[in-house]
Parts: sequence; structure tokens; C-alpha cells
Amino acid sequence: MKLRDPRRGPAAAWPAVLGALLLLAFAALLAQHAAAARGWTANASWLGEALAALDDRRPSAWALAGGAAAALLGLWFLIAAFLPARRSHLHADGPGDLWIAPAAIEAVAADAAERAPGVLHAAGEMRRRRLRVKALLAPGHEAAVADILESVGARLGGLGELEVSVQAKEGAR
Amino acid sequence: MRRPAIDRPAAAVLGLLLLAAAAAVLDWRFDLAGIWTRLDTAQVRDVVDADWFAWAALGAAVVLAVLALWWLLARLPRPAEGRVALSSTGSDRIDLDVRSVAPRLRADLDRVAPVDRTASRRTAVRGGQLIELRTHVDPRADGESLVNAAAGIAASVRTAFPDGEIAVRILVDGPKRPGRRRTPRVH
Repeated sequence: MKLRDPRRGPAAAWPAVLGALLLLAFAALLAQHAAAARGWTANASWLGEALAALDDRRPSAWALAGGAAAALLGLWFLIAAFLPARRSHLHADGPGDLWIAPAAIEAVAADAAERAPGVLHAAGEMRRRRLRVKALLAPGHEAAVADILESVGARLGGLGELEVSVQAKEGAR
Repeated sequence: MRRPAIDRPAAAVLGLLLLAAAAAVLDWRFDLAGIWTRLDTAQVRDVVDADWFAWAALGAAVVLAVLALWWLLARLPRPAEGRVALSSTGSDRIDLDVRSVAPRLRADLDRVAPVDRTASRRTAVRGGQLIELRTHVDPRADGESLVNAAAGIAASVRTAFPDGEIAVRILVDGPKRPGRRRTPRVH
């Protein structure tokens, strides 16, 4: 069985829903015109009224607002259509089909770093396969960086290749 | 939520159409290209008032409405079938009810791995079904135990379905409640 990688929803999902609704609205406009032209309804055709407005020298405020909305929507649709769906999880090594979210790695790394001696507070930040641990050290614990690296590396062992870097700051006395 | 493959091309085409409409309104207002002054509205009105146009509009309305409804409904999730056919060499066909597999795997994962609040989803894929277990990591977890738990669950599924009718995938998300410790504090 060949499976696709887990991904976030593509950016084109919302434009697709909106586009379907726009199509429905256009279909309703055409159907109303047909009904008015065949005499099934007493109302005048909306399409006919809109076309009559084409004779104006300048577009009405409504037409301008519609044009601005069409420009914004069109840009959004076009950009979203070409944005790729991003990977949501990183693949872990091992025989099981295991995928880890960057947020999970950040939380585990922060917990591991906080357990190293002399660390007051730690937070992880993932960028692709690079993990940066920001740590606040207690005064006089400059050597804790090596401990943090060792602790985080031991905790995340087995999850695959990760580049770990530590950014440490000494707390004020 | 499924993602129909038509989403991208259709969104691109609709985006171009909307931009073209916006450009037409722009030209109308500022008379940049002069298309609007050359436009003969009498011809347009003749076409719209013609007898055949009402029927054409009705037909187009029906086609567009059906397309739009199909496009909307295509993204509703489709439930996977409750059973899979085991491959067998004889002439018999054996269907196995797999609805109980996902809850069992969910309980197994919660027990053996440092995770909690596992949810499961069963979807049909080519050649069988995929059970996706989605769970939240415990910040005190370590990578080794997660990998071992995933390997154990994958192995148990492979033992039960050696021909791969059912596959399991585990997605581990961040912790559910960041920053809150579950260990009770004693004052």
C-alpha cells in the first residue's frame, strides 16, 4: 500500500467552497432570467436590469464595490490555487508508520532541557528539521549548554535526524 | 473532509474570471483601454432578449447548479466500509468486520506509549484500509518509547493482516494542554 504523507489542508479548500457558492449564485441569476423571460414570474429579469445599467457613462457605486470585491477574491483564488499543501508531521525512523508534529518535538525538547541542571526555563522552536532550544540559565551555570544538548539528544533519540542548537541566556542575578 | 482534485484548477480559473471582471469594471470607470466606449449594448440586448436565450440560460443554470452541488458534496467525508475482504487462495471469500480494530488499537497506543487522548479514523485507500491514530504527546515522553510503541502496534497489525489489508499510521501532535502539569501538587 502506497500512502501519501500527512499534510495540512491545502489553501485552495476555502476558495473551492466559495467558488461553488458563487457558481450556485450565478446559476440562480440565469434561472431567474429564464423564469422572467418565459413569464413564470412577475418580476423583471435581474440579468436584464444589470445589462441595462451597462448604458451608463460611469459605473454605479454598487458596480465599483463589486469590481473591488472581484479583484480581491480573484487574487486570493489565484494565489491559493498555487500554494502547496504543507507537510504537517515529520517522519520518524523505525518500522512503524510514525509521524511526529513539530509542536510535539518542541514540547518534549523543552521538557528535556528544563530537566538539565541549572536551567530555569526552556522553549523549543522547530524549523524544518532544525530544532533550536532557547534556555534561560541560572546565574553561574554557563556550562549547562552541553548538558542541555545531551539531555535533548538523549530524549529525542530514535526520532530521526534532527539538527539541535541551543541558545542560552544567563538570568539576572 | 476530503479534498477533491478539481479544487486547484477550478480555483485558478475562477480567480482569472473574477480578475477579468474586475478589470472590466476598472476600464468602465477610468476608460483606460476604451473597450467600454466601443461596446455596442444594443447587440448584447438583442441576444439576451432573443427567444432561445431564455432556454439556454435555463440549461446553463441547471448544469452550473449540478456542478456546484457536486463540487460541494465531493468534500464531505465518505465513511469507510465496515469490513474488508481477506485475500484467500481458495474459491471462498472471507469478509472480516474491522470496525472493532480501531478502538482496540487506540486503547493499545494509550497504554504502551507516553501519549493521551488518541483519536482514530478509518479510511479506504487503494488495496485496503488505513487506520490513522492521531494522538497528543506527553511532554515527558522520549523518542525511543514512541518509536517502540509504534513498531509494536504496526507489528501486531501486520501479524493479524499479513497481506496488508489493514495498515496503521500514527500521528503524534503537540501536547493537549501546554504548560499544565498533570502531577497533583501537594501543599
